[in-house]
Amino acid sequence: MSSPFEKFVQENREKFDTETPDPRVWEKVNERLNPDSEKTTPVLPMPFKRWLAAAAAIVVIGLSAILYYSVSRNKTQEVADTHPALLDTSNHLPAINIPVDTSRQIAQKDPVDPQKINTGNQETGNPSKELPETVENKEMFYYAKLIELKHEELKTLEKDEPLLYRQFSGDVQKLDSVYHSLKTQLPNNSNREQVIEAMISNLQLQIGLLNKQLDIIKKIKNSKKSAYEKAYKSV
Amino acid sequence: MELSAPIQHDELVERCRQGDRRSYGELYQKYSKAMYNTSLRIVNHTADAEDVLQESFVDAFAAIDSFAYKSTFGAWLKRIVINKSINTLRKKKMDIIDIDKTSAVHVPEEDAFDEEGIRLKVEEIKKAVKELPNGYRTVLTLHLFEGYDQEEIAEILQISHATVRTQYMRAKQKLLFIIKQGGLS
Repeated sequence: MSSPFEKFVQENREKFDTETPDPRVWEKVNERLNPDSEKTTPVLPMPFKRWLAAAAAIVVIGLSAILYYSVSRNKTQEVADTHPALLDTSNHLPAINIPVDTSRQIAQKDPVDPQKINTGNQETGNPSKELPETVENKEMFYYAKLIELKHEELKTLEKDEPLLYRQFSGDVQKLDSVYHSLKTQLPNNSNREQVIEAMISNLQLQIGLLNKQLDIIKKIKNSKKSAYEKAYKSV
Repeated sequence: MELSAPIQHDELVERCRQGDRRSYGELYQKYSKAMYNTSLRIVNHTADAEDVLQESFVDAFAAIDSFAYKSTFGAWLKRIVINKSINTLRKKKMDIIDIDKTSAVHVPEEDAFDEEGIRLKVEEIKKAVKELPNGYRTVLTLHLFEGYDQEEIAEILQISHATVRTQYMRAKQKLLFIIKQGGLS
């Protein structure tokens, strides 16, 4: 039935399929496959990244605000607790005494007193000198070390994603500044337990945040890699 | 015989049916090249063939649930590609049946061409196919490259069996003629 000509074609059939379609054909097909994900899939890194960075920033700001607030409240309470007699007497004393009392409270309550921070920082170059050798102290050291390692890991991002890195490290710094202000409070605070607890939970938050950030970076790298591979394959 | 054999379920197709987006990409990678070449041989124009390819995959993915394993997925997809390619030709008002006035006068005997003597190089054939008029090229392509029989081609093109046969014979002779001319020059 088939002539030598037809036989030749049949035997060499796959050699005839030499042309390759433009890779844009797949892009168009893919876009039309799922119109909702049109924006997320082909250009995944950007919106995804921004969204996560924004979410991380909100979480950090929220958490640090809560932490800050709760710590300063502890201080106020403590002031109130340690001076019950003063408050008690103030009730009986003439009204002039009250503003003096409250102003003292406010001054003590305010942890961002620049003078205090400055002196605090000078004193606390190394936390080990200042803090006694306790379980908490060791715990804090362990966390600090861990944070340092993760910071280094994060730093590798700086070259590839300077914007994202700045955002990330800014978020961590916000937490870290809370940590430092806690630390400056520590020597003057009689309720050490609570401050140390707050410091540890702050460090844990930092680690959690750094882990999230590193996760995000990993995801971005993966999606970039797969996008590259896809492009490479389709060429 | 082939028809009686059950067609195995295609893993990749099943994953697409479950909505796995990556599998759509894999399916495209697997078939796009062959489908593109099939379309290109019919429409004879790269941009048109790419449009056909795009439309075919979009339609196939949209209708993947209705694919019933009456044939392989590749055969099903190819049929979509061929239908769209022929529609593209029709839209351009290109005749599906070529009336080659000269061919009626001197239909050369097949023996007049020494098939063995023609250097059957793939490239030469490909080049010659491109030079065929649309109707000849379509019929020839469907039989020679895509393996459809006369009846199937008659159904696809909505023409009679007899027309398919004569069109194919003439198309093939013309092709061989073009190749011989090309070889001589």
